[in-house]
Amino acid sequence: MTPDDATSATRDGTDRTSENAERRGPERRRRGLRRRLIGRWGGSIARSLAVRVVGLSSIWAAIALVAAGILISALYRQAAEDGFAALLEAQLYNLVNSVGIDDAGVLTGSPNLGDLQYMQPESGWYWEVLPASRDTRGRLSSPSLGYSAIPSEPLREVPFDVSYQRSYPMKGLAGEDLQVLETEVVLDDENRAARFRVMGNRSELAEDINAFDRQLAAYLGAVAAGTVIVNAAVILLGLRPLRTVRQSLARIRDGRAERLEGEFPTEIAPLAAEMNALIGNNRRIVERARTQVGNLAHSLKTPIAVLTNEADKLGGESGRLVGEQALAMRRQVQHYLDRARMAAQTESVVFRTPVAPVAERLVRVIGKLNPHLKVAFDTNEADDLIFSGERQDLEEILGNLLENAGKWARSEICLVMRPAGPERFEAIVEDDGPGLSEAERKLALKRGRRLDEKTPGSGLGLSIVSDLAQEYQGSLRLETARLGGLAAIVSLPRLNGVDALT
Amino acid sequence: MRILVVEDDENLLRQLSEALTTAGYVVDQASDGEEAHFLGDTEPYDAIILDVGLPVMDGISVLERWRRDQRNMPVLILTARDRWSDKVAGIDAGADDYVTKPFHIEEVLARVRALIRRAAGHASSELECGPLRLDTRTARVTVNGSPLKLTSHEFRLLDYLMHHQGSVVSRTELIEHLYDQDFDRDSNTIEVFVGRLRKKIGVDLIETIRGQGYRLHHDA
Repeated sequence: MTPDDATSATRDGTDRTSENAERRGPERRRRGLRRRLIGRWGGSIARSLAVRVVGLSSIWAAIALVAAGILISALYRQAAEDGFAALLEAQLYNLVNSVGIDDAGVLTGSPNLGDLQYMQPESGWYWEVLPASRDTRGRLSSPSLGYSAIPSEPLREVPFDVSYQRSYPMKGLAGEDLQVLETEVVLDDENRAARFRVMGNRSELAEDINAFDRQLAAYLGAVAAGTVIVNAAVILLGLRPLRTVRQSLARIRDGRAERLEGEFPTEIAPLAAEMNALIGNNRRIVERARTQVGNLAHSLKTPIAVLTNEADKLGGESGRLVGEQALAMRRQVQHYLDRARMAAQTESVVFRTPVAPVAERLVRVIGKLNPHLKVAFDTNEADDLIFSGERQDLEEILGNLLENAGKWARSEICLVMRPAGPERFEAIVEDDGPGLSEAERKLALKRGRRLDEKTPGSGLGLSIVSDLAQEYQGSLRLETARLGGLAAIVSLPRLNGVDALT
Repeated sequence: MRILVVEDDENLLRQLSEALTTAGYVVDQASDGEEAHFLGDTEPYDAIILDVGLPVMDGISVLERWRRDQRNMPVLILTARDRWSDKVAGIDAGADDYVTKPFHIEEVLARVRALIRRAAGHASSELECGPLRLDTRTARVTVNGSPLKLTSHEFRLLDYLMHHQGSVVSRTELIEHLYDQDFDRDSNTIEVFVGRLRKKIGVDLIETIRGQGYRLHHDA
């Protein structure tokens, strides 16, 4: 079974299981989905730190402010009512002091309580002095009251207290609420007495208290709103480093960064450090696993070599069978080595590989492997070139091209590297060998990775180069060399000067 | 031609040795780095096939030590690692060529032949000395175009002389390169084989230089 068969088999397998699940209960699944969605939405709200903190702090702010409001309102009402009662009492004393009685028992005096409200009719502020004994006559009243009368509560309902005062609510002339304060005073030695009544506007008091309550509520409401906003702002600001961490992690997952970078607040810094350690550890584990896969794959190569050679010697049907199996094993080994390499590649971060040192090493090696050849490398333009990729891949590309050229060249190989636009460079490997015809060139690029080394030199290794170049969005093309043989031209990405410095 | 094969896998070592012996080489074997280093350091091999992954001392270290001690015999390394960085490391350590595992024996034989030829300064795979021709790829010998039937001992002797034609080859050198390390060096077999070769070739190409050895050459 080829690796492709293996993967497609697994894919089919998974598809089948999910199909079964679908057939088993679409209804149940749908209901479950809805519940899950609601649950997830509610769950994510409840799990949100910001929502929790803002919610809790808002509840607390509301409770505290309502309690404060009730207390302040109560205190104010108390104070206002005390003041109202004290005012009435003071007016009553004033009234008592400014009223007398003449010898005929007629009430005299023109009290002025110093408040204009007693002058305005139906203002709700009244006073009145009435005879309270048989031989007393006359009636005095505030201009606001005039000849109208405010009824009294019967004495048995509201008796006088120890200081001979009584107070009760009553309806006023215009329907307003009144508070009446009454006392009876003996005015002369003949025990002639008068009843003194002072009435204050309770509706005004209530209105005053209500106005205060409304203002208070407005203030406290503003404070509550401010508290919630400030809390929300603080928590969102405080949680911002977490978002930075999340973005950093996403960058790491995308392969754009290797570790969490940046300054984190004291509370988050240990978390970031732990995460970096975890990422490092993870990377080491993956690296170790990859190395082990590599070691396993490489260690299989010797037994496969033994099998291959034994099969060659054996010959016949069984020899052919063993040889085929050995070849299949070899393909698998190569397949997994390639996959490990590609996995490593996608994970790696930013590459910059100076081109010239790699090329020089390879030219030296090819020169040594082919002592009869002159291997020329023009370093003029290669010095500043930086390949935007992994060193090993550049080595594979140049190594295979040079090796191939070495296989076919008669006396000379030439490697030229030069920039091709701001983002690419070209490596050109030429030889003076027989070259390839148009048709052969096409075939050379198509032919799969050389696995059969029974006929040394039959493979060209060019398809490997082509595959690698494509991984870097590059290309390989074959032309006729100036030297007469084949010219292999591979185009690869490079970092330009500015990038190279950073 | 005497070759040292260093490989820790028993089966592969056996296969390589058998194939090389069949191809007419004299083969010594080593299965760990230390033994390999000792043999390569003391015996005059015409080529060494060296596995990179060896117990005790790895192949690259063995190779580096030989080269440090000015041992310049051609070395072909066998490696499972087929990345260029591995190949470059091997060549930089002093290898002359490499074969990646898994391989067919023929490939190794071809590389070894080429290495020995190159070391002796021959570019072509066909060695020539007057009417005498030796094709290193097919191990066929012809005189004036007609094939010569040689025993394996005779072939080895002629092969060595052809590779070193023009220079004087001592009897000790021949023994060292044509027999493995257990061979009794006092025997007179070399003289016997040289005599037989002269008779088979018919043309007098092998010159005896008294007190020094033999020289294969052709006066044009």
